[in-house]
Amino acid sequence: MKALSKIPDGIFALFEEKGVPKDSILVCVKADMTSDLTACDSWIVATKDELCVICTLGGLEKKKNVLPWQSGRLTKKLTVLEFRYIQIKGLSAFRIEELISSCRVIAANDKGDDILLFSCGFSCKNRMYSFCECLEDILQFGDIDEDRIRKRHHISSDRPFGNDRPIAGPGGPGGPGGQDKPGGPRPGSEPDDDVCPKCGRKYADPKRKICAHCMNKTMLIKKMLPFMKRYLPEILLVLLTIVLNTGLMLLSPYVSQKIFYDEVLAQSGSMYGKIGLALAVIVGSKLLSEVASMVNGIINGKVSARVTYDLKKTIFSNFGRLSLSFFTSRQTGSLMTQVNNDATTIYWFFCDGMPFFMRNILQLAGILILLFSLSPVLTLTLVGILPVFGLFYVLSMNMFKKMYARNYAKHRSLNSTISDVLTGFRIVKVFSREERENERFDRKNNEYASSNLKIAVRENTIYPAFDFIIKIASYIIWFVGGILVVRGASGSLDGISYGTLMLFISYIAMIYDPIRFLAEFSGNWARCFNAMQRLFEVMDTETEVKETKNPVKLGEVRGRVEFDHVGFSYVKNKKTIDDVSFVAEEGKTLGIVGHTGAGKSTLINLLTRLYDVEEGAIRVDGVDIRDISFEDLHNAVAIVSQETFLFRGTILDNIRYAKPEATELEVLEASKLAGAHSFIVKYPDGYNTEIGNNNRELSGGEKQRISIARAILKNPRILILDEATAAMDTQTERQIQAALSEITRGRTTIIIAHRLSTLRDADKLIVIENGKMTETGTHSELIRAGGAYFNLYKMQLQALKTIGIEE
Amino acid sequence: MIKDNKISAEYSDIESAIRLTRLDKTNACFALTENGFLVLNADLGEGRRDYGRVKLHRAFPFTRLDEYISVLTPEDEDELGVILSLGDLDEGSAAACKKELERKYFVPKLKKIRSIKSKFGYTYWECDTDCGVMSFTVADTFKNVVKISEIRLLVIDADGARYEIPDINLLDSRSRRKLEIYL
Repeated sequence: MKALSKIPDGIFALFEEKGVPKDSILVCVKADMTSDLTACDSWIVATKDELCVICTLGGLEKKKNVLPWQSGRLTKKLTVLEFRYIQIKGLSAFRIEELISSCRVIAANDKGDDILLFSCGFSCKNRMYSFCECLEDILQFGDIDEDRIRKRHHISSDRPFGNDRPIAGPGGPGGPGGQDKPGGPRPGSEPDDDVCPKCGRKYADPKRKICAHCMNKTMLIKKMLPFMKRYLPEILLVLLTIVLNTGLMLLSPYVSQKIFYDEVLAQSGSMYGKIGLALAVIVGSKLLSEVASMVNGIINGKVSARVTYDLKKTIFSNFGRLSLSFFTSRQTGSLMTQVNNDATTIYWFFCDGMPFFMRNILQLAGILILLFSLSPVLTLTLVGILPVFGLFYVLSMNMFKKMYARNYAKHRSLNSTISDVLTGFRIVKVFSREERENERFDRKNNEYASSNLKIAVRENTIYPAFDFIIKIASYIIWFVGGILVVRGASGSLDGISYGTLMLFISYIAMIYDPIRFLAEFSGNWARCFNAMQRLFEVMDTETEVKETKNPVKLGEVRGRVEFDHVGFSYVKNKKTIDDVSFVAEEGKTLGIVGHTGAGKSTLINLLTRLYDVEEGAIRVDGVDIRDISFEDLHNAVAIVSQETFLFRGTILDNIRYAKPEATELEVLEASKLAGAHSFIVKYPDGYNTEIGNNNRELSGGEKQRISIARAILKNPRILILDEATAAMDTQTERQIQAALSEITRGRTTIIIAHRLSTLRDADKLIVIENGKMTETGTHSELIRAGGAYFNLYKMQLQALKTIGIEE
Repeated sequence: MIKDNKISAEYSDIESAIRLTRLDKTNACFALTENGFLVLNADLGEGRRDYGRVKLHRAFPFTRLDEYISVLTPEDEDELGVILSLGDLDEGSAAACKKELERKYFVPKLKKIRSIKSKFGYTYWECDTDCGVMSFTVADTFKNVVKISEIRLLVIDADGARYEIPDINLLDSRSRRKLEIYL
């Protein structure tokens, strides 16, 4: 039996009662809805002939650290809500229909009509895709065979199912699901691997199997430790100076007051009259304390600069490691905030915050010890009061954490808005939307400001409250202390001297600061915590596209590109590429044609491994590209794409980006070939002209030609032109045609174009429609075939005619 | 662009791609099959015929619930036509469409929030809804608690499932307080 979810024995017993013995069950799964869409536990099993659904509510015994339905035992409180049989003979086309917030699992009956098997929520989606796979297998063959299912979808047996998800067998770790599609393969994802085994909650982010609920602070600290290890000697020195400083600071009131009052000034004192000596000691200890403080400050400064540098570097380099999909789901504004602010926050915490924290803790501890040695009674009174603000502290910490998280979100939102408007400023002007954008900014600014205000108000309420509590404490001490002094004067044992009381009071004044700091600290700690979490989010996110550990060396690349039954989707359930197979022979030109959004650029993204295929394989010179190192692959392939991105820098730098060690002559030659040379030399600064933001604005065609020069300089065996001439007028394109034929000679070239005139001389053409490859052949063959290509060609001729261009 | 009939005929397939096809009682009839799926029988320019199963999609799901409904093919989701208003259809068709829309746009409505535990930006919710007690996880909470209107709220969980609060003001004060931080 293939178990897609764990089902308690008690439920199997229920199925037995209803006439479905356990050994006849081929596959079982758990869903979460009744047929009238009520939340429940829905148990679904399939035998050779039928599907059987039992919906229950409650009755699952909870055991510690085990998911409720895994504990196996049922309690009396179980209610059976629903029970159905569905005959599956004659059914076909099992699939999932995703609605707005639920799914329908559907099949087609023998008359071809759709029938509803059951409904479920989104959280069951991934399991259900596998379930449909299994049902198909049962109907065709009478049982379930994972290898057979895999073969049907062209997944080689040693390949994980899409995105490095390992093949799930009884011992395999299995993936938590992810990009499944109707009929898409994932038979036997390990049961319930998308929930945390400890608390039963769904992993918030299926790509990171980390349960935030069960994660605790100590784990985060443990993660920060490697960063700190590098600076161990400095940290130890800082600790030393803190201890020294604090110790001296604690001692000075003792010396200056108790000793001064009781020993030097009092007639019965042991050092009566030795004022000079006492003062020398006082001044000396103060001096030493200041020196320690200075040393502390200098080291701190050094370490903090270094640690910030390290942190920013780590965050930045982690960005580089991540796959493209990480960035497409986040705004660059918020990423920028992240890199800068988070590093600063964490730095603050560890280089200012932590030392301060330790100093204050030490101070607190030291003072309490001293106080106890002076007067146990008084100290106990004081200590009785401390829990009050202990409580206060804990409560405010929780509150601040939430407020800071919200504040950060508003800040990010504000930055994104600004970054958005500034990049799209041309559009704002053209549509005269300045007023509107002002309003939008105003709103976001307002939200951020009011969030800040709320925090400020809270802080200004909490801290004075703290202060007040402390003041009360000191009045109580005065009261009790006064009584004790009077007692002492009259010779009673538990009395204290006046000097002692004064000392006590001045020490309490010193408690004031640490506690206040600790109260403020709660907010800063919360902020830092947030920042650390985000940092680790970046670090922990596993790349989807991984380089294999032992890449095959490619050697001299001949340039044969093969797509073999490739399937892929960006978004679950919508197949962007569906079973596409073709070969681009070495040295030949392949043209890819299709409507906008048909999936042409996706093919290129897959070839360059910006994303990995989910089904099938892509091979270069017969080697699967997943087995080649990224470097080899990117050396062999160059792309000129629709959106040219040129970095800030000189034109020379931009062209040389492909090959930094290229000589100026090589750059000139590449540029001439690309048709860029002619306009570049017209600029006063020639190739040294600065381009990018705030600098010279290039036209689309000019940018494109620089891009082409960049690709030519790389001299790749496989050249991809993704609508590279789209931004040029036909005349310029004609001029480049000559260059293009020179450029493409001897290279495997893949050209994606809308304008079919560019593709007329391609050796082979393929047509992509809705992700599927519908036609292939040469230009003349496809015209003769009279299919999609012919229609496209005809439409273009007509369109061009209306603007006066005759082909 | 259209100079004479010959050219307009050549452009007809482009025409159908760029103009809305209105569906109303004169040219379309919807019904539910015995299995509960919506089917269409209509005349879209090629004579009256059965189009089999169709899907519906609200163009303005937040503001216009019974108007501007796109009718799509089940496989490729190509638009066959648009129902400008359910009132344009005959009673039977309108009722069938309404049922289908209710099913498609079914979203649990939160009645009471029992708890929201927050950890590192993820929140774990446990709520009473009109479909029973439900628990779910929300990632990036501030982004996924969305105000559709001044009083209407949508919560989107880590699987993409949605939960609606039709009117925040009708929530009990405890639930409101738990929610406030994320508004």
